[in-house]
Amino acid sequence: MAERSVTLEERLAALAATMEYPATPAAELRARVTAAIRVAPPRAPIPPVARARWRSWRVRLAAALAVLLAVTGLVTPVRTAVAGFLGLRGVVIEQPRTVPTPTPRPPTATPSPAGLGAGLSLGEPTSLPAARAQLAFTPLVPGALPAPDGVFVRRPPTGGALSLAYRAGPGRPPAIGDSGVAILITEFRGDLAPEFFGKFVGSDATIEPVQVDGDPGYWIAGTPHSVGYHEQNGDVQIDDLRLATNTLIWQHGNLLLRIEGTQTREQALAIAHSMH
Amino acid sequence: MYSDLAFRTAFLVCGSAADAEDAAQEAFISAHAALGRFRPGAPFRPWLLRIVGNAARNRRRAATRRHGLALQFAASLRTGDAAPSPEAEVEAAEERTALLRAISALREEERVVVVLRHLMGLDVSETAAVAGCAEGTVKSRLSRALAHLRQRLESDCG
Repeated sequence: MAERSVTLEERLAALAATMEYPATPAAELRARVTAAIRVAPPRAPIPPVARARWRSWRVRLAAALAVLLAVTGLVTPVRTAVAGFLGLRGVVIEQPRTVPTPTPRPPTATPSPAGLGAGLSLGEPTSLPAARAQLAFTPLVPGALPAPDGVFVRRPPTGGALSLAYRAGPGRPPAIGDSGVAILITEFRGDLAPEFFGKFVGSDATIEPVQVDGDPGYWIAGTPHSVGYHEQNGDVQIDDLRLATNTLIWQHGNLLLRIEGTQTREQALAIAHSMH
Repeated sequence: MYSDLAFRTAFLVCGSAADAEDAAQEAFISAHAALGRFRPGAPFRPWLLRIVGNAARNRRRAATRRHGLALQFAASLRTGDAAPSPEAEVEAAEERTALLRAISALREEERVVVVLRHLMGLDVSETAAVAGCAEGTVKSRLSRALAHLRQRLESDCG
C-alpha cells in the first residue's frame, strides 16, 4: 500500500498544518491582564544596594514593557527572539523579529501653519509659557539648545506630555526623514502613566543602561525601533509617525524624559545634562 | 505572538477554549509578577511556557467535567498551485480524522506531549516545560504515544 511509506511523523505534520484552533481571545486577554496588572503592580526584587530605587524603577519599566509586548500581540511572529537585556537582574526587553511599523500618514497638502513637528502626533502646538499652564509638572528645557522651534502638548497621558522639536542647524544632527525635526525631546509624568511608554527594539538596535546625573536611563541606538503608547483603555497605540532613531530615555524624579535624534550617546547625555 | 502561543498551548492542555482563556490570563499575570525572578540570559519562551503549563494543568485539574480534545482541522489542505482532486481531498481528510481520533484516544499524559510536540511544534524542552516533567519523561512518553498511535491506526486499517 502506498500509504505505508508515509511515516506517522509526516502524518502528524500534515495534521498540524491543517489544525484549526479556537480564535485567540487576544483583546479580552489584553484587557483582563492589563486591568489585573494595574491593580497589582509587579513585585520587583529589592536589591541590597543603595541604588534600590533606581533598580526598582528599571524593573518596573522593563516589566511593563515585557508584559505589554507579550500581551498585546503587536509582536507579530511566534518566533519572537528575546535577545537584549537591560543589563540588570530580572530585566528583559523584547527584540521582535518584526518591529511594529507605523501606519503611514497621508501627506499634508500644504505646509501646516503650526510649523515644525506638526504631523508627528505630538499633540497641540503651543508655546512654552502656555504649555507650563497645561501640564501637571514643571517642564525642563535644555540649556544646551536654543529655544525650541516647536512646542506641543499631548494628552493622554495623564498630566500631559510635552514635546520640544528642534530644527537641523549648525552643531545639530541632520533632520530625520522629511519631518524637518533634528532633535525631539518629550517629557511626561512617568509616575502617573507608568505604562504609557513602550519601546519595540529591532534586532540591530542596542540598549545600554546609562546614568544622567545619577538618574537611571537607557541609551537605545540603531534602527529600527518604534514607540508604543499605552492608552487608557489598555490598548497599545503605535505612534503614527515617530523618528525611530537613537533615543535616550531616563527618569528624573517623577518625570520620564526622552531625547530622540542625536547621533551619539555623548550628544544626548550633554543635552540631558543641561535640562533645567 | 505570545497570546496565540499561550492560548493555544493552554487549549491543548485544558481541552476547552474557556479554560484556556482563563489559564492564559492567569499565566500572563503570574509572568508579570514573577518577572523579577526571570534570570537574564535565559530564553523567555520556555520560561513563559512553563508558567502557561502550570496554569493550564491547574485549571484542568480543577475542571469538574473533563473535556475531550475539541480539536478541529481545516476541511481541506490547500497546497498552493496544484489543487488536489476531490477524491484525494476526501482521502486526506479521512486520514486526518483517523489520526485525530487515535490521538484523542491516548491516555492524557501521552496525548498532551504528542499534541504539544507534534501539533503545536514545541521542542522537547518546551514540551517538558509545559507538561511539567523532565525532558527524558517527555521522550519516553512520546515514543510510547507514537507506538500506541501506530497500533491504533494499523487496527483501523486492518
